[in-house]
Amino acid sequence: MISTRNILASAALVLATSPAALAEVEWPTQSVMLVTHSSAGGGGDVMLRNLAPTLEAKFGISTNVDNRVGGSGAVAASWLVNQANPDGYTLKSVTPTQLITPLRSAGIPTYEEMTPIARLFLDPTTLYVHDNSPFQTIEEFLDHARENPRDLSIGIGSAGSLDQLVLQNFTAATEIDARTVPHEGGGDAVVALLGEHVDAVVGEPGQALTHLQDGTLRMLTVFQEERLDTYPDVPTLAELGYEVTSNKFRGIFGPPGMDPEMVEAIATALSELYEDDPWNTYWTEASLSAAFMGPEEFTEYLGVVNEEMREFIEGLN
Amino acid sequence: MEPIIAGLINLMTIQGITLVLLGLLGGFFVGVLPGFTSSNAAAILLPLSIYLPSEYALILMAAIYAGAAFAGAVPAILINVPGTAGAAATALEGYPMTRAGKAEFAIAIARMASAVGGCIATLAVIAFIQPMSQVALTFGSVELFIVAVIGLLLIGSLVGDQPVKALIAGFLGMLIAAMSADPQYAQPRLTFGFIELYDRIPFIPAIIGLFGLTEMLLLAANRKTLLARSFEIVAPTDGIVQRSLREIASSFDYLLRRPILTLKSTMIGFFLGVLPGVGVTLANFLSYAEAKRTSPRAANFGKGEPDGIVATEASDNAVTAGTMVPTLTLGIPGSPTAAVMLAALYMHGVAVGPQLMVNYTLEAYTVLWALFFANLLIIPIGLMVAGPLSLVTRLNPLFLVPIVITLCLIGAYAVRSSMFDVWLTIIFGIVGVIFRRFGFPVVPLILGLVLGPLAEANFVRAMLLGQGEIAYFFRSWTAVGLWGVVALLSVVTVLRVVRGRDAS
Repeated sequence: MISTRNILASAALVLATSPAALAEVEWPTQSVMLVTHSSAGGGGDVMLRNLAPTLEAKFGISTNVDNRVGGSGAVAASWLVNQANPDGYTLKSVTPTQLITPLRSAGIPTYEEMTPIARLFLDPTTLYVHDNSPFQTIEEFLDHARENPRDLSIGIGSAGSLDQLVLQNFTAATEIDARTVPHEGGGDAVVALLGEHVDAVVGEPGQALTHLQDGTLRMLTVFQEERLDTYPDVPTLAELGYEVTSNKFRGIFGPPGMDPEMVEAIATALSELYEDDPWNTYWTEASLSAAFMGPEEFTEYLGVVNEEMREFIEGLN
Repeated sequence: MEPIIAGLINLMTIQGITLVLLGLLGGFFVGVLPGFTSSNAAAILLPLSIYLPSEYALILMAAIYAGAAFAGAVPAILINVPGTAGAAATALEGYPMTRAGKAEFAIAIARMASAVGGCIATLAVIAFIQPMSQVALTFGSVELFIVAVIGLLLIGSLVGDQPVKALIAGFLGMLIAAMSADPQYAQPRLTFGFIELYDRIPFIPAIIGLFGLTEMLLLAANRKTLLARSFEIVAPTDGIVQRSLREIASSFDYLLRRPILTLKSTMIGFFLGVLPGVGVTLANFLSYAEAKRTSPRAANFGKGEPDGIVATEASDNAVTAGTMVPTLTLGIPGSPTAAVMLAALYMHGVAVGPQLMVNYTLEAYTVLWALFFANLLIIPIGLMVAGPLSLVTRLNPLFLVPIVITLCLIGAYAVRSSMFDVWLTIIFGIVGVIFRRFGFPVVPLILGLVLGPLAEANFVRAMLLGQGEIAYFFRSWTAVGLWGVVALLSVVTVLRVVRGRDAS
């Protein structure tokens, strides 16, 4: 009820001030539809389900989260390109999956066919082992791997994912030979590590958060340029002299053909949300780093990351 | 013991019980509609739950979960359209019972078995939640692979008198499930350019097509059923209260006379629910196959045997309880609905994982008691809801068929807003008709669909982990014990085939 009244109120406001609205686009003034390719409870889903109440509380609008699951994100992508309304009120969550899927199979809309609006977070990729593991540091881990080729097994969320790319870059840079063991998602890989079925897992800390905090799992290294605020004692791989960084970004795309002013307005609104709750609780609890980029910067960034992914995917075949 | 009782007292408030009732009704609603699942309903509640105390949101979701697990059986029994994936096995016996005019008894059995299985399994979770979480972790790829092998072997007890056709159906199911990206290198195979197939054939359209759509197409194709109503319903002659009480008493009595069947099915559901990634469908078909294998009335299975409903429904609700173990103790969702429950905790800033049971003991036990009472309340509330629904069988097929086909297609679309899934449902509906016409059993096809990927992914992983050594497949006592079950089942199946040949 409250949100309906607010929609009417803000609609009236827009009508009354329409000359001004022409000069400066306001967002959001009506109900927002948030689309994700992840299923209920998945990463993109949880992000949007936290974004939704934050937008509702701040702007007094209503929201709607729509899960368009399937085809490793392809279903949601082709829906966004072919059927979504480009009025700025249909937005989609994105992750590197959106780049990888079109590279794996022709005919799936690429990021260039959509409107990149904002990069919001970077999800760190890390390597962790079980508490019972003999390896206390990443150096010990690497030494063992060098002396015993193919002895260590490293679990990842799924085959052909960003985690596999990071793992591949990691083994290439450090010149080790380890076995890559794909699972049915990051949570599944963590289960395998908790049961000590694999020697290590490469993935985001978010999927093993509490196990890392209570010491059941031990993080050995971080694949990004700087150490994590939440794990200040864990070295980055760069500190050992290996340049391996991951680009697991989380952001927002819109359908093709959006009004550039609208895109700017949405990006600005999103950039001002980081301190609001429950958004703030969400990203700090999940160990994400706030890494905002506006539309232009984000598009450039996507171009660079996409090239890296292309080489990786072509290398797989 | 103390936190367990504290959790019970914590739930026993007006708000607590109201939320259980509301969730249960919500669960019935989504459970009855094919394609709408308890995870959808829970996800819709997720943004609202931020305004509720965290345990209230979870109480609601737990009750939805239990309600949907039972309610899915109602359309499965009445019109052969499983409302949830967990009800697919229930349709095998429930629908023939409806056709024999025993719809109300079938629903009464399903209701009682759901409640009893759910309650026993929830009590088991409350008592053994900590040790059970360790059991879940000992199941690696090897053990899960053997579980899949056991499931495939159980096709043997379901083949009936057409073993070749059953094998063809089983392998076809595995072949269809192989239309996906392969689990090791993510290369698409047999996908014919359909990106929707990367993550494998979605299961709900297959179930809706093979059961509901097939049945409606066959009804429509048969002139006789279209012209005259074929189902006999015994008109109630006495008061509604007496009839309800008698229904409860007779269904409870039925279960009491089958304590081993009830407990065994509950255990299967509970254990497979505890293992993340196994899924409710496998648990229910395993219970069903096991019930048929050991039943003195095995010949009656497939023709409307209430024992089959006891097996599938007790297992179905036991799975929901079992999934709470990895969810609450490890922070690992045991099912899609459990994933949404974790997301709700997460939104409340509750750290999920091993400390959950330490830091939020009261909340955890409150939720488990909510699940217990939701299962218990299935008996009276389910009685009130299911009665009016069974009137649907008195509908003339001329109206029933188009209405149900529409519902089936909407349900198929609703899962992920996809027209691809609608076409898939139609294809599976046609496959189902062909299967029926040429006497192929549909259950091996479904087991192939479910078990193929489970067996493959875990086999590939086990080979990677064991560096191709066969010895790795015997790496733990659990694995050795499971292989023992495989050996035993193989011997029993072979013996029965041989003996069957001697007899004929």
